[in-house]
Amino acid sequence: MNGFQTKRVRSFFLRLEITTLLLAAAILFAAVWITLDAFKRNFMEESLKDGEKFGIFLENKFQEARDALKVFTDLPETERTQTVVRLLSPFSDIYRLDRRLRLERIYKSVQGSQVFPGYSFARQDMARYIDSIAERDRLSGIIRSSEDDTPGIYYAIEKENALYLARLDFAYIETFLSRFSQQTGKPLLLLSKDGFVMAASNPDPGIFQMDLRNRENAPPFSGPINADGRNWMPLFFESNEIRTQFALLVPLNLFDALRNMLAWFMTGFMAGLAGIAVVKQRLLRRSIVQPITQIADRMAALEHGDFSDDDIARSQRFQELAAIWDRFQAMARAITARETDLRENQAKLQTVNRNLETEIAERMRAQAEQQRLIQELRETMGKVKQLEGILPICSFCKKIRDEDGCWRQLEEYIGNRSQARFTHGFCEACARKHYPEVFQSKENERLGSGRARADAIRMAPDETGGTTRR
Amino acid sequence: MRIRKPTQFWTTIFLAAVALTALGVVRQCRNKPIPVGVISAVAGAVIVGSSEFNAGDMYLEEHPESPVRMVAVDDQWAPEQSRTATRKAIDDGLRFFITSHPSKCAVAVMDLFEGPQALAIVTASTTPELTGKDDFTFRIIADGDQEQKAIAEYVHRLPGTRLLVIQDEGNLPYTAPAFAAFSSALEAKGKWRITRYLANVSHFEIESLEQRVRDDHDALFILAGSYQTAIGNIAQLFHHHHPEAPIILTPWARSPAIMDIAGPALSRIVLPSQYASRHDDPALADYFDRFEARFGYAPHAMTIGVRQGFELLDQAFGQGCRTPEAVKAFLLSKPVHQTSLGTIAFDRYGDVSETFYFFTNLERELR
Repeated sequence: MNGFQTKRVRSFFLRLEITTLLLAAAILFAAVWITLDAFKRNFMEESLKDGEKFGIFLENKFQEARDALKVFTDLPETERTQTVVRLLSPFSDIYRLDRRLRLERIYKSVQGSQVFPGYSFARQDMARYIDSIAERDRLSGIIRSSEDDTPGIYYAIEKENALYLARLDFAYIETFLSRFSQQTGKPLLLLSKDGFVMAASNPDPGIFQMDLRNRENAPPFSGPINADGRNWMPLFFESNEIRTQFALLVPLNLFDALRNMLAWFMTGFMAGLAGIAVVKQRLLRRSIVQPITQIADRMAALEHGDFSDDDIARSQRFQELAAIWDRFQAMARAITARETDLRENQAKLQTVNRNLETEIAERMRAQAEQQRLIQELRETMGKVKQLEGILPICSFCKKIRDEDGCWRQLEEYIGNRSQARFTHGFCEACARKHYPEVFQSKENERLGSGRARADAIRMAPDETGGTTRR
Repeated sequence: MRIRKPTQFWTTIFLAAVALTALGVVRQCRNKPIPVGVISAVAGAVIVGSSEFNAGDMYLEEHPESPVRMVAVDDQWAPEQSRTATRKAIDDGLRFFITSHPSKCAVAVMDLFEGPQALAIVTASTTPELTGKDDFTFRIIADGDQEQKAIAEYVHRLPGTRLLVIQDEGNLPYTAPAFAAFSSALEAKGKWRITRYLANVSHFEIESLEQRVRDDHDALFILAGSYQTAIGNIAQLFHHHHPEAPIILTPWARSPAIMDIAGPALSRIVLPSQYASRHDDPALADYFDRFEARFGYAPHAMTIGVRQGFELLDQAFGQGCRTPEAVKAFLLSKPVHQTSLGTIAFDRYGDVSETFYFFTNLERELR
């Protein structure tokens, strides 16, 4: 078919349908994905603002605590009574340290604290923090405390050759975290620099560590985590003042529900489209493919001379197909009629042919006979021609002059130009003339033996074509 | 024009689907993940527990082809919770475990590993109750008897005669037999006089402890494990009163956090260990460096055992072992197993014998 591969109508439309469905699914998926992503991004950006508010609020609270500690350290030692210390409620522990970070005096201490006068705070993270306080008025960041191995945030002030170290009351921090979370509906986690969850709002989602290293170069809204049976998107913040990272967990249940709902919608929609496609395929098969196949079958039957004239066009759903059927029926009838005529004519022609063949054969035979007769006639005529005409003949020796002017013996001349052959004898007169003695003795014998001798004399053609008794 | 057979398109689709399914099934069978439970405590703000899980994370990140799938089994290092969590994990289909819990938890769950329903590689529980049993517990560290005899041998060589032993009553399945083994080994040598003080190390009362510490002692042995950072506080307290006296810890205090808390007492601390110094073993140094680079903190020493446990199980899985019986047979089939962090030689009961190292220059060890 000149490079074209024929296809079935049904499979062609089926593939077309599947391709359409896939394209529709892809477009639908992309549209849903883009919409969800935009919605999620907007929601996350709003949550980022919440987190930033929390950071600002936390810094303000810590500033109040720091101011209170500064007031405390400004007091003379004699005025630092337990009543005054109790007013410093944001702090659970307050110490005075020597230059080597050894604990000199405990003003306030949490119950069960495991530090004691003489205890050294010269641990690496604390030493680093205290080394830096002269430059920046900042908190230590959240670290594991020496007192009871619980998380702690320290604040140190250097005053008159003494170092005052205070630990923020973590219950105070946790209460604050919980209130914020209850207001926003988003859990909040305070993280150490190595990603450990040092404090969490209540209710606690049960996350104990965040993989901060793998999130360093990740996009801001990527990598949801699962905790407490739910998915969360962590948003990370870092406060330079507090030197602490915190993570705001945005619940993704709304997105999950929306995504699931849209997924179900897409599934239902695509299932509906697929169902419609199936119905379309069935209709296509029943209304178009089957009639076309019927036409093809009828054509094949017609090809083999089997034509049934029925009114199939009336059962067709489409005018075009009915018209095709009408045209086909008409065409088939016309073809059938012509074929019938053709067959009859063919039969007649065959009869004529047979007659003609017989006649031709007879004529051929007659012609052959005629040819034979003509040939015979020609041969006869040829012979007649040879003996016709005026032959120059010698009056004495009876030789004949041929076309070349040569004189030939009569026998030679006639023998070369006819079927006649000569056998030599002699006639009675010549015998008498040339062989008188023989003739005489013979005459005597003849007279004596009667007719016997006379039988010995053969007949021979004479010069004129007659026969001569010799 | 010839109309083609209608089955060609669908046959192609069907064959492609069958081929893809077969490929998927083959790949699924070949790389079917094998869940391995890591039994430890999951808690915020402490490196114990997190270190073990991170050790597993790092192993799997470095071996992406491994069929192992780590499952965190949180037992809070509490015996009751250990039993409940382990039982549930087994019921959920887990057959292989790596445990890092203390001896009190190991004792609580050891009957769950008596039969072939599950196999455990124990990295931390040294209680002698696990020793010499033909069960499905494989312990890749020496038991408490060996450990305490080695420590007693070391203490015997120290100057002095008055030894204070602060025994952790929070983990008696470890410290009780350990003290018995230590004291009998040391007293047999007839030099040291032992004063024992029972205390809950994690929540010790400083007044009563200080009262006891203040007495005359030539050395302190803090018989406590579980990487409790309070060990550092106790060491400081003792060092405050006895600046020159050595302080001996157990191998279960090999944690940068404890050493950091110990402060000035670090110079007097003697730390026994089943593993060589990171300065003497490049493989260990590299492992700790990789860990710190990956997770941002220095892990405790138990992560070495966790890593070795994963490597042993992976070797067994690589040999086609998929059941506790098969893994047990594999582990007992070779006299010595090679891991990236050292060799492990099990005896017929799945126990090991080890040489102990004693670190005295811990500032160097921490760097």
